[in-house]
Amino acid sequence: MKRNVKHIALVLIALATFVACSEKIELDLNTSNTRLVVEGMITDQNGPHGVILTQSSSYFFNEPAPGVTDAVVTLSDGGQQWQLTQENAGHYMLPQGFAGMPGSTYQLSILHENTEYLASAHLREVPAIDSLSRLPHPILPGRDFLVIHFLDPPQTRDFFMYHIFYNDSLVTDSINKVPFGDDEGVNGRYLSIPVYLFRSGDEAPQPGDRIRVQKFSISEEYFQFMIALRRNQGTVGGPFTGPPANVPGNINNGALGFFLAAAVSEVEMVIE
Amino acid sequence: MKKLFLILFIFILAVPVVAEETLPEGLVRGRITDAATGEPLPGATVFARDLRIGAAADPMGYYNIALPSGTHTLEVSFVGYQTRILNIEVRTQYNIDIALEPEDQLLKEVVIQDRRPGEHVERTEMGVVRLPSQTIRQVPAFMGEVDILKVIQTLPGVQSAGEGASGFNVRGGGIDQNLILMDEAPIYNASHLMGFFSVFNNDVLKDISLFKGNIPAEYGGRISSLLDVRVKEGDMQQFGGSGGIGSISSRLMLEGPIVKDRISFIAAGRRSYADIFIPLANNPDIIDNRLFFYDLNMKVFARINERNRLNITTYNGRDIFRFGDQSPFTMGWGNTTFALTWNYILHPNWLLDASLVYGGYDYSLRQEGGNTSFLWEAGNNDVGLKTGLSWFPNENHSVKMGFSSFFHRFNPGVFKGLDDDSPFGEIGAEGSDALQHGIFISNEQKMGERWSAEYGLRFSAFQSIGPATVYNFDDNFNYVDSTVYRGGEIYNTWTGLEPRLGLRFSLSGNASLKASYNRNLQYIHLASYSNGGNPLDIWLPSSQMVRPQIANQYAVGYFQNIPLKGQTVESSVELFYKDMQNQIDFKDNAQLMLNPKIEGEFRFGRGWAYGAEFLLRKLEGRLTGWISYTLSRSERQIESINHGNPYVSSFDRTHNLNLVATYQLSQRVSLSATWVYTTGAPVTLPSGRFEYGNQIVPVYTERNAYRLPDYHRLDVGATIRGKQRPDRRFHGEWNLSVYNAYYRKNTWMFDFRPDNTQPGKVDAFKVYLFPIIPAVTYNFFF
Repeated sequence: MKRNVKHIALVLIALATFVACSEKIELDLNTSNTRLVVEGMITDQNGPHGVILTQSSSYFFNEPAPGVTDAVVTLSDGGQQWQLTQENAGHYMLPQGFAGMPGSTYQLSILHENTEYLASAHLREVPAIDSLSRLPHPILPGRDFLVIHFLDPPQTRDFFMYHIFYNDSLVTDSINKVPFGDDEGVNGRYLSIPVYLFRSGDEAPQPGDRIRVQKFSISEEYFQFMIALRRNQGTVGGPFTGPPANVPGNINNGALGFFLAAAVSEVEMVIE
Repeated sequence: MKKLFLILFIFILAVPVVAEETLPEGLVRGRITDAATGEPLPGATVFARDLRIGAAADPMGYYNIALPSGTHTLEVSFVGYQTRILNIEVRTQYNIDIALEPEDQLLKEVVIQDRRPGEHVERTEMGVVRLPSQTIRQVPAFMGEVDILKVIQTLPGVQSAGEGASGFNVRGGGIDQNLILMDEAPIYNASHLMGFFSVFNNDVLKDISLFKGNIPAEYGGRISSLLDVRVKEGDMQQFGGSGGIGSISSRLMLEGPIVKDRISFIAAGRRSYADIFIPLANNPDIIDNRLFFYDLNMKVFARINERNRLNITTYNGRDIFRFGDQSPFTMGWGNTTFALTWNYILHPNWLLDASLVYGGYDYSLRQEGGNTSFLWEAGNNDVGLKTGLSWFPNENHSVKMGFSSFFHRFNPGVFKGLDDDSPFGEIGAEGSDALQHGIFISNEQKMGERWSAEYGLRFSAFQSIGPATVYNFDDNFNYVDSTVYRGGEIYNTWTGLEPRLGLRFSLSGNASLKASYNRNLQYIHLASYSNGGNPLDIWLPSSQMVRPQIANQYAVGYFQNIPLKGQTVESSVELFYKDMQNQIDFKDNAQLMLNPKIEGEFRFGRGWAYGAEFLLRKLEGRLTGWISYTLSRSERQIESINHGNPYVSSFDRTHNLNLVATYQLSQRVSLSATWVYTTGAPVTLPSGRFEYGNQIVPVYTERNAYRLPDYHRLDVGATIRGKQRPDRRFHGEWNLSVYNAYYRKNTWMFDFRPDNTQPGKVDAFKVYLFPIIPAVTYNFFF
């Protein structure tokens, strides 16, 4: 919540106070060693769930990240173990029908080139979405927000992220479009949070259009990871970004990326 | 009771008599003033040529010079005024007030002057530059406005924090390490529009002094420099004023007597109409927007009687950004200062000054309209008392002592929803208070013909005072618990001794060697995302975890006057080394805004800087100006940053070369040019990348391992004075200037953007700020 607001303020400030021109240049940057990259998420919904393994590369590599195809990936919840099988290059999937259990802690193990990489994630309950509604944008005329309403549990510090589907098509198709927040300052209250801005003009919402929101209960670590991801996009230097830094993952032995376990609450709204 | 009155009465009567009897033979004192306005002329010099003894007038215009009895010829001079030669007989005359006539051609000469060419060889101080305001007006103005901060950045050892940033770095120190005072009141953010202009309106300035090392013992609180800005007193005799109408901003200054010869005022206002900076023309949704700044200055000066003077200086300025009509978003920030100073001549040898001071800085962001309206405010303010007692026991000593005590209030930022149905709660950091005290004693001493020394000791203390909630962290910067302090409860006391020492040895009439050592403490710190400074910076006090910053600075210098065709060229070389302890940097991905546990984001370590500063100045003749070159290095070593290895600090600029020149083409026309060159700023760039969630994410290994391209630009300007009519008070001049005359696109920062046509491809861009910017201003005086 607070982060989104701060984000808006900062973006406004940055946008509105500079007249800056830019020009494309060639830049020569040194390359560090390649590292293993993990992108994995399991939820309490039916699958398919899996983990994507790729390699890091030099900064101007300019091609899709190469998949890691020779790893052995297993998941365990302290009791049971599951082997992940590679379906596409770098995509390791859990067996069909696997669904995470809220309250469990899962351990991911990746064996690659004689190194074992471990990550641990706790699947917490998600405070269910109560309802969805439309709210006019305070500044932009004719544009509406999609607002979700839910009761935030008072006894815990909660962190969330959202995926939005418009007519079954994923809107939040890259991580920087994914809204996220926490309950700092509003713990225990009934919250109304704008998560999506409806389009205008030709793409404005038509009656019959369906919009679906999925709310994920993420960990505080993942929340910090998301903040760091946003901070490190694009501009380097300048007065509002501060020195760039690496995004903090939760996998050991220097692997990059994140392994997340989350519970999902989903609600759909039909436009009138 | 009656006895007391009697004693007092006799004492008052007796004082003048006592004074004459105890005044040591050979001490000549008085006040140097402007013959036309009655204004004191601080920095004017009195020079006894035969003895090569000189003295400069203090901020109140008083001078004192010790001369053996007999006849002497005194030369009294000040830039912009006709020099007076006086013959005096020292046995009988002890007090001589001298009035100097202003020169007809105020703009005839010089860009920078330390009051008299060649004087820098005689003064003990080093690492100081003084600029009388009228001499700054000749330097090419940035966008038509004269900016003293831009001028000091062309001096050796001083660097701009970045293009457009008016924060500055002195001898490798951070932008928060400069104490900026306007008539003794602190200014926290000296820039408008993120550095395009400074808050100082040159029309009201009397002079400024920048102390790069050798900060006098009466000042403390910042470890790299003191920028002492003095506002001028209004004309005591008649009304007048000046102003300017320009393409970027306009201003008006009025001054005059309230009671002739007794009380005067000066008031000035300035406003920009820099709305041209709004780059939102492409977005049809944005209806109305405004971006401007204003400054208001006022000073009232009262000469109550021969012994008592009072002045009140106040300043208020603000930057305002507003857009949106129905649901406006407003952002504003600015300083407010107030200072009341009393000067009292206790005795011809004793001078007392006391100031009551207020300085505050705040910013706010406000969104109105509907239930998502919010308000985010932060700021800090100081209230305090500063006193000094000056004593001149004999011709070889000039002693000053005093104390100061300030109360600080810090509001790091609170965000809250305004509407009753607001989804926003209240988030932010609680405020806290602190007290800062200082007590000092210093002396300027002449030891024989060749040696002189300036030495002093300052003892400073800082105390945190409740009510406050303090968050405690363990050694790994993890939050442990919090402690609550009651109102008035004092916790966290920091103290320190700050010795200051300067020595001068005269090698000959034309050359001298100087050395200095300074130790400074700093108790308040800037938490800023950027290195150039931005208006949302937060000032924070020292605490259990945040120790005071300490600097030890050592400097040596060689000063020489070189005669050149009857004129003097001043040259100097200064070498410095500064080590700084308890330097603050922030952990990776630090959250500084609205974070009550902000101290957990800090990391601490040390810094050091060293360099050589070269300066050549020509102050006389048709062509005047200077060349300055600084070769320096500034590094930091902070735990957990850059893997704990030393890294180049963000304000390290290896080479910094400045050429400033003014040429008086004719009586009415003068041309000026400034050329600036600095090594590019250090920057952290990625050494790899990975993909996550359809996003390219950079990988960094070292901090500040790369540099932006070198920065250089040329500014040119011309000033054309209107015909001066002797019968008319009103006269004007046109000022034309071009910033960045050969349109160099200096890189402000790098930007990496994904190529939308080719997934996975990232292109590098350089972002540059200022193209060539011409400006026209019509300045008038009456």
